[in-house]
Amino acid sequence: MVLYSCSLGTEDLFEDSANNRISNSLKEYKKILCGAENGWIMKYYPSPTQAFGGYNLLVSFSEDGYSTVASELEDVDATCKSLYRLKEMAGPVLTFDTENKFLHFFSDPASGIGSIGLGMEGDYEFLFVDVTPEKIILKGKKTGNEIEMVPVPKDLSWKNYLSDISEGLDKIEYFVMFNYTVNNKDYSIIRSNRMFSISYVDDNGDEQKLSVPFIQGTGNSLEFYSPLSLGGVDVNKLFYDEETGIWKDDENKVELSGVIPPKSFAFMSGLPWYVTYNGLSNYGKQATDNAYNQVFTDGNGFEVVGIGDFGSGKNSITFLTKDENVGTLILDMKMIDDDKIGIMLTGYGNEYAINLWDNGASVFYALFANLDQYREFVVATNHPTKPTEATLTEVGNEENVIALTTSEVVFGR
Amino acid sequence: MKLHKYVIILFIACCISSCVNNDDINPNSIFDTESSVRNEFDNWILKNYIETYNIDLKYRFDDIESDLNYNVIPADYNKSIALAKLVKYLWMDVYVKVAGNEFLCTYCPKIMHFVGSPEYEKTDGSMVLGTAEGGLKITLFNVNGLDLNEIDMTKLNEWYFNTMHHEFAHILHQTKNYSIDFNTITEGKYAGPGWINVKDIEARKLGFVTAYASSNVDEDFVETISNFIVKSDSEWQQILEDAGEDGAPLILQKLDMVTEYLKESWGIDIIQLHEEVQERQSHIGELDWETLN
Repeated sequence: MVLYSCSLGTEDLFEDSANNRISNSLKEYKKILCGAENGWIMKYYPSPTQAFGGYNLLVSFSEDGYSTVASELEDVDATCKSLYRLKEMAGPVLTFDTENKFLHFFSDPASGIGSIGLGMEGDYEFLFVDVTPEKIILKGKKTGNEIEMVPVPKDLSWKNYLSDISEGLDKIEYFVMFNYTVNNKDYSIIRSNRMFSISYVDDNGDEQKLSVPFIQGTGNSLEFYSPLSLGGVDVNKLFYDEETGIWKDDENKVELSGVIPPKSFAFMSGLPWYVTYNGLSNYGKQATDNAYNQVFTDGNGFEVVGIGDFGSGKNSITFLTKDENVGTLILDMKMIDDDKIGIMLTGYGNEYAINLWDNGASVFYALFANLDQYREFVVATNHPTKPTEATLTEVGNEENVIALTTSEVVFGR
Repeated sequence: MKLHKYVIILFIACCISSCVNNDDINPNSIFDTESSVRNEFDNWILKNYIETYNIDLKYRFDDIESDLNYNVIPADYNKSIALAKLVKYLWMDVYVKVAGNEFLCTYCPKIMHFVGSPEYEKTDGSMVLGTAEGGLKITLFNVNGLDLNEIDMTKLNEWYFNTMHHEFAHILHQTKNYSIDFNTITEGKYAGPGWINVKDIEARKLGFVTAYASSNVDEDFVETISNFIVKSDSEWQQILEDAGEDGAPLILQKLDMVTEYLKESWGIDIIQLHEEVQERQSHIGELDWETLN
């Protein structure tokens, strides 16, 4: 019987202990972070699937532990200050560990974007992947997204940087629908936030879907998180041509142009919509009054009413009562043709909405939809691509006219 | 078999002897022993929490203290200061006055943890306001919901202080159990996870102080304690009125039992707790919650 020794000769691969190496790394990284005189441009992508695309954040770090953040979603001259820390957590980590309203908006589970409990799922803790004074690559701890930071040029104010970004965003955000042309083939694109969704039929006749997250760059440029590969051409960046109003790549191989959509499409892309009492025609007001007399005898009533997805995940007639009960009656909504939409009750809803339905408020809900068949409405909007106001006129019952707004307003009866 | 066992032991013994490392033990600790830089708030916490009550307050987000199944955000710095002061005034100092310093230092969780947002349950959208873990830590969520311009006691109680007394009562009954007679008062009426669909007023008619109390016996026990402490006399009366002739006697029976429990097990007079809290709550508007002093 041979017994082998368990001890092995060991040789240090590194000059120093792991603990010291980590500690030295953190010190070095902090020096680099604080060393960017004018702060950093952070190309920030929330969501593990980059579902919302990317956002420009400007971040500076001070030696005494404060971070200052500006954001393309905020006023160009606004900043927000909070604390940051560098620590060791299975690798050196940068954490923004007290609330920064600008940065943590992307992590807020109830920000109003994304579903309740998730929000945009953005990170505020980042692993350091590669760190030099010229560029820092971070990795979101939960999302795994690559977050690149480059120093803000010394002679460029944050306000001017964000103003440049804002100008570019105005152009891209004007449209929801686009046409992408490459090698004489057209592809239809729908934009949601900073994400392009492309559906097309490939050469084999199979339906394909592409999700292409992007971030606004300076000089009216768009940059993709990963190259857009379509029609045999890989594109990293697009540039806006003022003369033609079209985005092109630097080799003129592709073109991205905005499309004015049908009204019905613009309406659907504007969901959710808010309803006000005064936005109803007399027909609607009468129905509302009847519902109130029947059901809300204590004067309680609807505080807010809307159509669409307010965080439940499904389009619904949604309302908030004055004692803060939220009711949802789930809808099936679709475009019927260029200027008509159809709305149908599915028969499903939460207990509170169904309770009101059973007790007589159905006369109010019936302004919007029936069970079993689509109620058709002619759509009018106040903007060709991004309406903020719309009117629905019921087909076959022109007395029923409903004015809607994207502004968060109270019902107001 | 015997031979086999002998061989194994021998083998292990050989392994042990040959695994002895003849190198000197590394004098450098793997833990970061460098003291971290304390800011003004950290120094206040050191003096008013750690040195006074042996309780650490973690207001800076630390994932090691959090449930990574939820998406939450860190607490705002200034709101953390305000809440730290409020917790000390309306909760810690109350127990010190009524039950003594040693009681609080012994039984209070050693870590208080602030989180900026609620934890949202994705299944039903309900929000977690606070958690207590095995007597070691209390986490308060939604710190960022605090409005520093208008300190609203009703909201403070709903969001924080009912939760604090609730969580602490869990720690107490997990240390010293309560009589199972309590379980029989509204036996068979507990709603379990379905409590989220019950309104407070409906629950009261069944003999529960709140809908959440109807979820299970332990929650019922601690909700009875916490609501009696933080609610004003008129609010408590309203609970009994909502409960009506069916529910009120049951709630009062529960109140008697929790009163007896606190007295017998802990030497705490719940009436005194209630009155001390009410007195302090009446002064909320007069005090400065933002200055570190």
